[in-house]
Amino acid sequence: MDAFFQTLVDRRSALLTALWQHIEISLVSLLIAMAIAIPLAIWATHHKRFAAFMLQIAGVLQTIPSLALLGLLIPIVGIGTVPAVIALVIYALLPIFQNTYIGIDDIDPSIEEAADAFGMGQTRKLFKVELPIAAPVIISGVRQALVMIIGTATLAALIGAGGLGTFILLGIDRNDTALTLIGAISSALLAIILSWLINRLQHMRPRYLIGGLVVLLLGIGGVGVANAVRQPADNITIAGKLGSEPDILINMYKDLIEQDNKHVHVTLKPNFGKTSFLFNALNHNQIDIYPEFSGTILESLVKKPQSDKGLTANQTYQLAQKNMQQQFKLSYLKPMAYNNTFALAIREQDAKAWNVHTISDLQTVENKLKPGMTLEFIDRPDGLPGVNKTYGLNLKAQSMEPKLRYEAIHNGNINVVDAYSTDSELRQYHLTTLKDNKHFFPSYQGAPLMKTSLAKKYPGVVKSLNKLAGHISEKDMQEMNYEVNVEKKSAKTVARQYLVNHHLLKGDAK
Amino acid sequence: MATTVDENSINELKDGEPIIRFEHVQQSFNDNVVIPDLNLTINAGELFVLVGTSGSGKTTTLKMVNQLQPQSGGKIFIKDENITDIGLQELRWNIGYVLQQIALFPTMTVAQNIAVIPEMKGVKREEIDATINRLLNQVGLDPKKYRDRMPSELSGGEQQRIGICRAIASEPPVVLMDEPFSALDPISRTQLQDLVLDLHAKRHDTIIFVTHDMDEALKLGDRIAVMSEGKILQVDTPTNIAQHPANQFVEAFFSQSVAHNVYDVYVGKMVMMGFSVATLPDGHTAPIDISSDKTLGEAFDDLAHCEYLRVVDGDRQLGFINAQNIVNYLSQRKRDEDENN
Ligand SMILES: Nc1ncnc2c1ncn2[C@@H]1O[C@H](COP(=O)(O)OP(=O)(O)OP(=O)(O)O)[C@@H](O)[C@H]1O
Ligand SMILES: [Mg+2]
Repeated sequence: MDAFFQTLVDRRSALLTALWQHIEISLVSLLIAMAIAIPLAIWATHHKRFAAFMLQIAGVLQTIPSLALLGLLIPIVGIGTVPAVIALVIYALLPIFQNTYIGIDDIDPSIEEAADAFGMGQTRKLFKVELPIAAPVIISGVRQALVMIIGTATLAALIGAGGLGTFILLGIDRNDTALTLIGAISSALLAIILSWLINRLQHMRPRYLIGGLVVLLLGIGGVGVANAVRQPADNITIAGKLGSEPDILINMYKDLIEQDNKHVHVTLKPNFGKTSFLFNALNHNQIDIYPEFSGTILESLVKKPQSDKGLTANQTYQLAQKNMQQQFKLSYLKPMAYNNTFALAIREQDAKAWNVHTISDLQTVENKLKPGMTLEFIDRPDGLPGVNKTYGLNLKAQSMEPKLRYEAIHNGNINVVDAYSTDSELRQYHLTTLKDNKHFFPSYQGAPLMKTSLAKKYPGVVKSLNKLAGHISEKDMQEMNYEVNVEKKSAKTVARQYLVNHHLLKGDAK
Repeated sequence: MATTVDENSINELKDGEPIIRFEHVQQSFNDNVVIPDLNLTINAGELFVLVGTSGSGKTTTLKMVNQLQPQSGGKIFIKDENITDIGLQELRWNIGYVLQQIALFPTMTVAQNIAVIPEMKGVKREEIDATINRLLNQVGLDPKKYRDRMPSELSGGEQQRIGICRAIASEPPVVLMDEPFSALDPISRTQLQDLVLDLHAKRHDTIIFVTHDMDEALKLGDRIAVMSEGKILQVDTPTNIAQHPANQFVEAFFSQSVAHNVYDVYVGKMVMMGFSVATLPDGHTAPIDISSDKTLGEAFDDLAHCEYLRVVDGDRQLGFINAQNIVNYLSQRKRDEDENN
C-alpha cells in the first residue's frame, strides 16, 4: 500500500497528463459517435428496414476485438490519436444508435398521434415531443458508450495515443503492480465520475446543456490549438520502447540535443510500444528518432544478406548500420558501450570462490551448478542448447518465472541464471555476468536510429547524439535501471545525473 | 394570412349550416373495405355523436376529418372547401382532438401541454398564459395548483380535463372526441360529460363525439349516428332513435346498452322510451322538476316526496314520470336481459 501511494506521489504530473489525454480521447470519441449515431437513429425510426440493417452492422463492428481493430487501422491511418479515436467511435456507435432508436420507437403511438393531430411538423415533433421522451433511454446509451470508451481507451497507449493505458502497460512491463493499479483505478474512477456527470446533465435545462457542451468542445479544441501553436518549427519527436532503459536514453538524447541546438525543441514519447511499432512509426515520420539495438536490427528489421553467427559487437553494429542505410535510408548513429544481450550470471561471492569469470570457466565447476532459467531461454536454440554446444557444457536447468529466478538465486536455491546484461536485478542481488568469450550471444548495442534526410538536415543533432558513443557500461545501465525501477527515481533525473557526472552536460544534477 | 381568413369563414357559419360533409367516402386498408360508402352531413354548432359497436369504423370516420387517415375514395368538404385543398397544418390547427388514451405529452407540464397549439400559432405569451388560467378554471381545476404539475401527477379524470383544455386552447371551431371518457370511472365520466355539455353550450362549437355507450350518446347528442360495419344505419335525434329505431339492429343496440346499475339509468332515456305520460292525470300535481340527465337513483329520492315528477331538458318539458313508470321500465329491462342471455 505504501508503495502505491509513493508511486502516486512520484508520478502525479505524469498521471495528470495521462488523465487529460484519456479524457480528451474519450470525450472527443463520444461526441463524434453521438453526432453520427443519434441523427442516424432518428432517421432510421422512419426507415425500419434500414434500422435493422444498421443494428446488424454496428453489432458486427462491435464484435471485432479492439486490438485487432487498432491493428487494422494502423496501415490505413497510422498510429497515434486518430486510429484510437476511430476505433472508439466504432465501438460507441452501437449503444448510442440502439438506444436512440428504441427510445423513439417505443414512444406510445397515441402520443405520436396527438402530436400529428395538433398539426406539429416533423422537426417540432422531434424536438418538443420525441427527443424529450426518449432522452432517458438515449442518455443511458450514451453512458454505456462512455463507460466502454473509457475502458477501451486504455488500449490507446499501445498505438502511441497515450492516456491511462501507459500506466497499465508500464506496470505490466516493469512488473510494478502499483503502476498498473494506478492506471486501472484512475480509469475506473474516471468512468464512474463521468457517468455520474452525464446523469446529472440529464436533469439540466437543454439551454445549459448545449452551453456546457460548447464550452467543453472549445476547451478541448483550445488545448489542441495551443499545443500546436506552442511547438516551434524545429520540433523533433523522440520515442522509446516500453521500459526504464529506453526512457532513460531518450531523456539523455533530449538534454544533449537541446543543450547544443537552441532552436530545436524535443518532444519525448516514452513507453511508445514494441519494436515493429516504433520502426513503422519512424518510417512513417510519426516519430523522428528512437534508440534501437544492433542485434534487434539484424534479427528482426532487415533482410540479412549474410549470416551473423559469431560476429563481434563491432561487426554486428557495422552490418546493422550498412543495411539500415541501404534498405530503409535510415541512419544508425554511433553505439554506446554497453551490450544488452543474453548473459549467464552467478553470485559475486561464487565468482570469487570458484574463480569463474567466463562461460568457459563454468566447465571447472560444472558439478556444483544448479541452473534456474526462463522457459524461453531453455527452449530456444540460441539459448541454453546453443550455450551447451558452443561451450561443451551439459547444463540442465529448472524452468522458472523471470522474476522468481532472481529471488531463487538470492535465496541460494539455484546458482546460475540467464539474464539480460543490463537488468537492474543484477545490481540489486549482487550478481556477476560471465563473459561470452566465444561470442555466442549476438550483440545488442544501443544507438539512435533516424531518417538519413533528417540527419542531413540537422548535423548539429547528430553531433549531440554521437556524444554518447562509447559511453555507458553495462554496470552503468544496471545502476540506472535500478534507480528507476527500484528506487523509483524519474528517468529524467537519472539521465541528467549521468550526463552531468560524465561532463556531457553542463550544470548540476538536479 | 390564409389561416385567419379560413378560420373566420368557418366561424362565420350560423348554427345549423353544414360544416362537414362526407360524399361517397370510402376507406379501405389493404383491400379490406372498412367503410364502403359514407354519406353524412354535420352541422355547425351541433354536438354530433357517432355510436356503434367495436370495429364499426367510428375512429376511422373521425380520423378522416383531420386527415390522420386520408380517405381512399370519395370527397370530404369542410364548409364548401374540398378537404384535400386545405393545408394539413391549417386543417389540424382548426380541429381540436381528444383521445381515449388522453396522450398528454409526459415531459411537459399541464400549462405547457395546453400551450402546444397556441404556441405553434405564434400567440403572445401573456395571451397564452391568460388562456391557460381561464381554461383551467372552466374545467374546475385551480390554475395555481395545477399549472406546473406533470401529467403523471394527475388522476385520470384530471388528465382528460387537461386533454380537453389542450384541444380547445386555440378556440377551434370543430372538436373531435374519440371515446374520451371510456377509461374513466363512472363518477368522473358523469362529471366530464356535464363539462362537455357546459363547454359546448358556452362555445357553440361543432363537436363530433365517438362512443360505444348508447346512454352517453343519448345524454350528449343533439343528433346521433348509429354505425355498424362501416355503414350508418340511422342518423336522428335521441328521441327519434329511441322511439323509432330504423331497424332491428338499432333497436337491439339501444336496448342492450343499459347502464350496469339501474340507478345510473338517465331519466331522459326512460321518457324517450315511452315510460312516461305526456300530461298529468286529473287531480295530480308534479311539484318537483327533474332534469333529463339525472339518474333513476336521484328520481327515487324525489318520488319519496311526491307522486309525479316533471322531466325537463332546460326549459323544455319532456313529460311526467311516476313510480309505476319506473317499475314498468325495470320489468321491460329485465325481459330484454333474459332474452339476451
Ligand atoms: N390502420 C389500419 N390498418 C388496417 N385496418 C384498420 C386500421 N385502422 C382500422 N382498421 C380496421 O378498420 C375497422 C374499423 O376500425 P375503427 O378503429 O374505426 O373501429 P372503431 O369503431 O373505432 O372501434 P372501437 O370502438 O373498438 O374503437 C376495424 O376492423 C379495424 O381493424
Ligand atoms: Mg375507436
